[in-house]
Amino acid sequence: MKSDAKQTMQLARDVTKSSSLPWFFGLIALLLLVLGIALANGSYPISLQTLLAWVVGQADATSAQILWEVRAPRVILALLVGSSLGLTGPLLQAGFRTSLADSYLLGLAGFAALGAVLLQQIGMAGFGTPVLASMGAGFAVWLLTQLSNERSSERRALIGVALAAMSLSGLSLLLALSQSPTSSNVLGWVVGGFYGAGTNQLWQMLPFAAIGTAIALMLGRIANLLQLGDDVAENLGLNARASRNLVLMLAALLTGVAVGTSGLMGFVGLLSVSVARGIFGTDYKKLLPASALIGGIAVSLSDVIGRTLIAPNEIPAGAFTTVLGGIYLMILSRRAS
Amino acid sequence: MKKPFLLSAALLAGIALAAPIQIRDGLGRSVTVNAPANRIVALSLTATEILVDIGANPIGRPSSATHPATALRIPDVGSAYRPDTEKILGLRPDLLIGSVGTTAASARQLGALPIPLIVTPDSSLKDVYDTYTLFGKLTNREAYAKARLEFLQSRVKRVIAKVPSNVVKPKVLALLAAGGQSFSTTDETYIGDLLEKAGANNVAKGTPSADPRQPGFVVLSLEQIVAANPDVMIGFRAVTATGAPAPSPFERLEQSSAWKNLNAVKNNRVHILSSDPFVTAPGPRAVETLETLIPLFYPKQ
Repeated sequence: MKSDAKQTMQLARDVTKSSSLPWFFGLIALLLLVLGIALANGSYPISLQTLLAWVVGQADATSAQILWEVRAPRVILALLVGSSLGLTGPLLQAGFRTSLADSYLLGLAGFAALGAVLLQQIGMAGFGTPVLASMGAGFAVWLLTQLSNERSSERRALIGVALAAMSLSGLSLLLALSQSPTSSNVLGWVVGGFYGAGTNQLWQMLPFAAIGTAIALMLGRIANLLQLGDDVAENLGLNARASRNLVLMLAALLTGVAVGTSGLMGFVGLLSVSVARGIFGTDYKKLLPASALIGGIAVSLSDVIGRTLIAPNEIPAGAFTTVLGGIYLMILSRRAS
Repeated sequence: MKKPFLLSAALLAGIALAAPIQIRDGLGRSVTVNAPANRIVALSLTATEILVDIGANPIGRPSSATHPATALRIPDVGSAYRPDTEKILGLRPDLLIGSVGTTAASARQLGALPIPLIVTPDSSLKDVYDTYTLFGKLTNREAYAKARLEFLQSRVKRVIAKVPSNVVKPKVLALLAAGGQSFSTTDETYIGDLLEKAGANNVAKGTPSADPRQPGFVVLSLEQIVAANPDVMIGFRAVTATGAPAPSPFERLEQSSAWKNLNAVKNNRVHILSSDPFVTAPGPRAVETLETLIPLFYPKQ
């Protein structure tokens, strides 16, 4: 039994090993391109020369100030939020074994926002929104695992969608109860965006994003083993229950980091893992970094478009990801049927 | 003998001119500003209009700040509620000024910029007067600001004198729509203050605020409105970014069958006004505001 499984895995590894490296280089190049576009574009005109001059420290004071204080933090923030959300795709797929692998669709993101808003109101604001949001997302994970068992992934997906709907109506309730002429506070959570992003926010979320990403990228082997089913995985020496919990906890943490920073952004996880699967197959050691890259690209691109299309007004990045992701989901479902 | 004296006097005057001013603004923030501030970006209609009025034109304004006509020549930095931080920094300002009603929502993000930000209180006519004085100090135009302030105050006084003193005040309901709900205002707000001064008996008076962080904004139910049975109803319609007409604050109320039995509806005394300047632009156009409101309350003048 043991050697059969091992042989299968070795075979799978050989089959998928062949052509991934150039794809990775391609993704990294694309990411760098998008980051360059994001830095070079904004409502204050900064030419390519100025941008290059800034890199070597020779740009004029105003452009340098805008790049340091406004644009660069925002671009990095979009990248980190995107990569965090991208990682939740494969993590949730491995942990829950569902095709609806998205923190928005399964209710983690909605509960993250709800958790952050509620916990802030009872005086826990000092922990910082990424932490509060992670607690909310963790609660959603706990609910999901309690309300469904590992056998039926369909049922889990449905419960997740119900949780997502509940959390959104919970947010609407808070909006109605707050009865304030400027309730944009809660509204700002529901459509995620990076308005006014700056270095403060960056420092607040960076440690969590960095740690979460680092650990997630090391879980490739564990995620692969989880896919084989608990029995086989246990036989190969894995503590399936603990591993699954770790994977899901990370998904909650990364969701919290992202939602706590910029509000709800739909479908990034699902988009990332679907595209990654199309290119790299089923090996999580490749899916995890690929999804992070793709998610980073998607959100960075959405933010750049959103803040330059109708400048000086902004379309929040969340609007784009939700529409894009929704369209992709529809295409996906047509192919599946 | 005279030279060192003159020199030290000039030095002292120089220090006084460049002295930092410490202010507690309308959001309770403690701000230190180096006066005179020569490159101010105005982030509210109030700041724009008052700065222009005292002859200290700002170098940036929100896109909705279209009064007076001279303000249109000033570069726009985006929506007043979400000004564009890149554009603001691109103008190289040395001071940002907004007002509580407009800037409170984005104060956190704007406060993180390396330029001092002052958010002036704007919940009464007196706040407007105090802002004149403050701006005069900030731009080293105290004498001229004082003159403009006194001019404004005298015009306000003259308009208010038209309110008849020995008649029963009409019961007035003022509604404004915000975030999908309709709010009324007590005299703890600028528009509530002006309603009082224009001789209205505000039916919202005494109602506790819906959100303690925004005093003066109250929610009145249809039952309360029917019980109060106002003589005059005024709806302030928001100005939308796209120019498309915003919903009337009476939209939902009009659906009710109780609507047509209200005094104001029966006597054709329901008026829709733009929220600019009545609600969103506390400032020198207070005179215009009063001149519009008083005849609505006392038509036989």
